[in-house]
Amino acid sequence: MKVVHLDLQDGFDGDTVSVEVEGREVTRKRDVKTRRMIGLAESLVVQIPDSAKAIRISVPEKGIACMVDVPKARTYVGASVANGGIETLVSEDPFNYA
Amino acid sequence: MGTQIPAPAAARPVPLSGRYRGEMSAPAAGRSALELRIDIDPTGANTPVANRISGDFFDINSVPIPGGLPRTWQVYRESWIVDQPEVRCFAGAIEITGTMRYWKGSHPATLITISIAWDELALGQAEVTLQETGSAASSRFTCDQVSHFFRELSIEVAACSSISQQPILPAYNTGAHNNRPTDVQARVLDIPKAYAEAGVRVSIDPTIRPIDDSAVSLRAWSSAELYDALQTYFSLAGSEWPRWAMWGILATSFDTPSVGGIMFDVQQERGAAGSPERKGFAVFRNHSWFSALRDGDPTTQNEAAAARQFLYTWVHEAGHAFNFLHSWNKNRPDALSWMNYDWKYDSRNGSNRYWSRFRFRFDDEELIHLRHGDRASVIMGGDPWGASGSASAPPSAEYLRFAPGAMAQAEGNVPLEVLIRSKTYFEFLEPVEIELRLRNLLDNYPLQIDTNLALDYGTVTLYIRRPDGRILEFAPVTCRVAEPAGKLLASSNEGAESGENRHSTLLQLTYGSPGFYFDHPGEYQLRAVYNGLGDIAIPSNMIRLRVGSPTKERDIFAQDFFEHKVGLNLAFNGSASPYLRKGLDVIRTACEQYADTALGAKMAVVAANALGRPFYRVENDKLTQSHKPDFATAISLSERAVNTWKSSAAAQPEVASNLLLQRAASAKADLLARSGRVAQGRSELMTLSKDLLGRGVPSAAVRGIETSAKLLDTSGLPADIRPEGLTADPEAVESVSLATELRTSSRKKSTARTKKPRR
Repeated sequence: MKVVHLDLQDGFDGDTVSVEVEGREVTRKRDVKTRRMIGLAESLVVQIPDSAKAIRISVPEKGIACMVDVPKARTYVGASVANGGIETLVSEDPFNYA
Repeated sequence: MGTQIPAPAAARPVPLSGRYRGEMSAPAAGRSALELRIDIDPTGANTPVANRISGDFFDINSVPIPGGLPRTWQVYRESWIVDQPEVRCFAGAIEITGTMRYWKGSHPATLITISIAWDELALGQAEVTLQETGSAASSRFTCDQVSHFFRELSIEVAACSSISQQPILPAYNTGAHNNRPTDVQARVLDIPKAYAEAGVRVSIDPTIRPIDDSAVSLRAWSSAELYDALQTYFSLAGSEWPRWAMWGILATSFDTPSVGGIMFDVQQERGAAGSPERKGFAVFRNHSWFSALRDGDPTTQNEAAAARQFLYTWVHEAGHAFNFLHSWNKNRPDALSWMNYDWKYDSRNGSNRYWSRFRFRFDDEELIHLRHGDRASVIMGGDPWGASGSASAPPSAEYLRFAPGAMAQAEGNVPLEVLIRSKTYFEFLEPVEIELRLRNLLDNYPLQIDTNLALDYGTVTLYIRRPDGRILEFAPVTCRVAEPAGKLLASSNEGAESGENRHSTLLQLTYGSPGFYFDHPGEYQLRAVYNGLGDIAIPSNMIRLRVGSPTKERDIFAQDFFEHKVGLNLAFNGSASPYLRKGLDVIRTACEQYADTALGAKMAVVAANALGRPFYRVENDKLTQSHKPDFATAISLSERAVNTWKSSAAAQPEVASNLLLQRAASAKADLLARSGRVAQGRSELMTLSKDLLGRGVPSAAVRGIETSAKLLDTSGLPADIRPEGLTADPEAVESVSLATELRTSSRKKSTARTKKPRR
């Protein structure tokens, strides 16, 4: 199994966030709200099949979604609601906040 | 950042820039104070010049104490800034001019002129003149330079004993890590030096208070626990705020492991609402950022990065306490600032670019906020609403636009407590009424107050923060001008038990000139400012109340209720005018439909007042009586209200329920007396006084009711003790008793009320 460390970062305001892999929802979080003092709402750890090449992150109530490539065994993804959509950062290292 | 003044530095003994303080010299000497900040020449190395002027106005209040020093206090009013001031230099003097921009409220265009002269030894005073465009009047202040810094801040520090190895506080040589700007001379920075370069003098209490965490398994703190620790360990936590002071804790870890530091003292984090906010922050020693941190100079690049990050985290979190948002939240994602994240910057500009370009400073806009921002948005605890807003948000944010008086805060020892309180929950549609209480805080000295406290006298200004965040000043439907109704409050030590050192009244807030203020469910916050005799100003506490969500039935009824004619009936406490008949009908429907509820009881009092007094109007060019009192219906309605408040007060003792019962019972007594049943009216008042005494109401307030009972006659309650909104029956004037004649002859005539002179 691959591990995706998904940080829901800026722009969330009581939203429901869904994460899908190969068309199947693997996690759903409700009432996601960004903590402005650190720029982070929630940190999720999502395990996905080794065969999966990407995850889909969506905010269904806002009608926005994006695909994120996750080729490696462990990936750190930061997702923010911005500019009318979901913007993502992918890193090999964990994100940290202050 | 701006053009510096051209005169050579050698011409002046010290920099002009810094903080000045002084008082108004004209038109009202000593009535206002000004804290002035001039930022036009460098005050030190690595200290950018912002080329701004800014200031804060304070009202100076004073109450004389015979045989002692007067009790004085200041009330912060508002702040302003001058962008890009013009500077003219002369031999031994300078003149700075510009147009003032106030942060809040509407003001006429005002030009400021500052003149400062100097000799070879010292700067002279800053002579400040404010001139409103199109007006001959001006205001003048004389200010002395008190500091070369623009702000001053003190920090107390605590550290968990399990991680209290050095370093507890950061110190970093900016040349230690190889990834750095190559054109910047290395310097050693700690928290005070980093903020000194920003123009803020920071003093850190040398005593680091230990928190013994050895015996418990807590290794990860929550924001709520950090806030609790602040309340315990911060010596100033229970003091008066706002102040330029913070508390920092070096703790183990945060319950979110990726967090290396946090400013936890905001409502969203700590879970506790209200002011004062932004007093405390934490740095987490066990975060991976600091795993290579060592005591002493770094010997490896990893150690240098850890030391650099340690300094960054402390300065960054203290920056949040100054109300800085992160750079990207201010639409400046490429800012090279303490308030940006390195990985956020790098994601846009390339790997490792942040540290290669960062010059260990705040960006220009942040410096302007820090040095010259709206005081309430910078000082810790400065927002009495605890709104967690930030002046570094986009300036068009609506929550920034509200009456400047809403931010008034007292500093110093006020002689009078202004307290507002109410029940915490109101049913949807229920008129909102709160208690306002004035209490003399002085020992051995009675204090005169003005008891014309209804909001349309202007003695009290009330501010309401609605669920949508907007802060509004309550604007009454009517405006009354009158001679102050003076009342002497006994001294605190003599009048506390009897209640003679305090005075309470009900404030009715439901409907004002813009409409209904509480027409949405949700949380509201309220504050008041009392402008009393002697032209003093004292802000109140802040209270929160909730308006409940409507049932379907009330939601449907709201369509009829939230209507202008209903609102005016509420504002006038009932009207028999045919123009407002529809509104009175809705109120009477509410009496029936919601009998035995708070809404029904309050509507019953309004309807009783409308029906129980005569009404006169012009018909065919002649003043005629269009409505005769319907005493039977009015008394029945007021009886209903009395019974509701009696059972409500007994079952659920609530703040202001005694005042509501008193109002309803007094109204009933007044109706009984005017209908010819004086003895029954007196009996009603005596029953009221017994009820209230039984509930612990102070004897002074109850004595007033007993006096009313004695004075009651067929003209109703005497005007000077009649509850607000009850008017006299003019038909009964001829039958007035001798006692009433004496009272009438002692009443003062109405005169225009003078207001505090504006600057």
